[in-house]
Amino acid sequence: MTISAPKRSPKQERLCTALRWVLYVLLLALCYVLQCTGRHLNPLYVMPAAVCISMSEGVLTAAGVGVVTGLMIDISCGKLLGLNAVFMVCGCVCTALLFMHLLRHNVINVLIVTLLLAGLQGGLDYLLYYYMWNYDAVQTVFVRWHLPVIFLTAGAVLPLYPVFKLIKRRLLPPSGNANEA
Amino acid sequence: MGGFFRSFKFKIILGILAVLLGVVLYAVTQGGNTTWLSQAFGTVFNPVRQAFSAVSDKIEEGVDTIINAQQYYDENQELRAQIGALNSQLVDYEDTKEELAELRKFLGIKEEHPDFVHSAPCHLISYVTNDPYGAFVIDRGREDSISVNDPVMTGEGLVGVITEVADSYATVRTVLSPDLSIGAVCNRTKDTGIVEGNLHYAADGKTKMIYMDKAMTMQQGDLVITAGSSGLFPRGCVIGNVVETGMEESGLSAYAVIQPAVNLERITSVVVLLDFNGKGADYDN
Repeated sequence: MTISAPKRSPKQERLCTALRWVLYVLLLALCYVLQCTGRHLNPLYVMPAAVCISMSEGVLTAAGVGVVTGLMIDISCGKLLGLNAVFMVCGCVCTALLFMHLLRHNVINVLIVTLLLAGLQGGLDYLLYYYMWNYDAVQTVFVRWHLPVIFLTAGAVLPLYPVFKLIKRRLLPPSGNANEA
Repeated sequence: MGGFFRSFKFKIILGILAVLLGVVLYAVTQGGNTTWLSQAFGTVFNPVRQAFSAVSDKIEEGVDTIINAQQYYDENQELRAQIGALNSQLVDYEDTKEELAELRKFLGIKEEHPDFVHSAPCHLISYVTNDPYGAFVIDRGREDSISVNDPVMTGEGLVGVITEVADSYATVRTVLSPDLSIGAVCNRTKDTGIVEGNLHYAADGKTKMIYMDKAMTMQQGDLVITAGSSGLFPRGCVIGNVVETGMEESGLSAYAVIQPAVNLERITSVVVLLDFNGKGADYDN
């Protein structure tokens, strides 16, 4: 099921697409700054934003969104540049395919997909940056840092999904052509 | 779905993944120097991050004042009592100072740290997201002669070391990180060891001194300073105070839990040591 707006002329369509992407970029920038703010545990806001964008876009567009959001996570969390980008490309492409062929566009499915992505990202981060280096009390960091971040990231879907849904309702093509076949 | 894996789009996605793998390999070879992409991101977003951090700090301060009002009152009363006790010790201070001046003439003790070359004060832009060791980003970099592995400190003591540097900003790894090993010595007992972060203690803002002799005599409250033997840190920088000592599970060495002298959760500005006597020994991470 795709969210669509009333019929528009080609010129209006182009304008709506441009406006939609300007809003996406601004929201991603805001999410990036919010996840960099503060001293304590922060959800990775760009991840649910990437899922919300990818669910209504084509696979190539989703891959591009994955590159950008993955690089944002790498830079804000001080990780090796490109590592989370590779993960997010795969995650966003799979998200686009899932919502194209299998899943309905609703907040529950977005929550589940985000939770899965956040869990995989957190697990990968724990494995590569802590567990494989055999630190003392390494399980402490997973329990006190990674697990809360995973659930906080999934929880960030709740305020973000309505915003993206509103943007799509107003600015997506009437036929839902953003989902390329 | 099967058609997707044979399609041209899938090949494009594979191409994108290959490029990203190349980026990862390139980033690995940089050895702490940020790539142009990270630098571009940082240059654009760091002022905004700084502004948001300032707002967040203000809100945190306000909430902290309300929640911990009773604790601050009790601390205030305790400090007043301490001031009274210290005032009574001041009576002997001038006599001791004169005696020390005379001793210094004979022993040739230099003024504390005349060899340090500091950067200008560096302000904190923001903390690294979700880092358990409190790593943070400062607003000076290569343009201010800061380089990787330069020590970072405040007036209270050692904070950490520069691990990543761009033209106008740099990342600091704190003493809570297990990736940072500092040769240390107890100021009173001269027991030596290595201060190395530990995940268990980092959660409480503490670090650990390891590989100490079983016969060490350090006690709670003792001051731990840098030994200066590696060339990475100068000698005599305050690291922190001992809060607990014990024997390792292996029974082969002793350890001490150290409370850093610097409050790593409340840092606003630091200085970077650009040069000091003895700088330059190889540092292996």
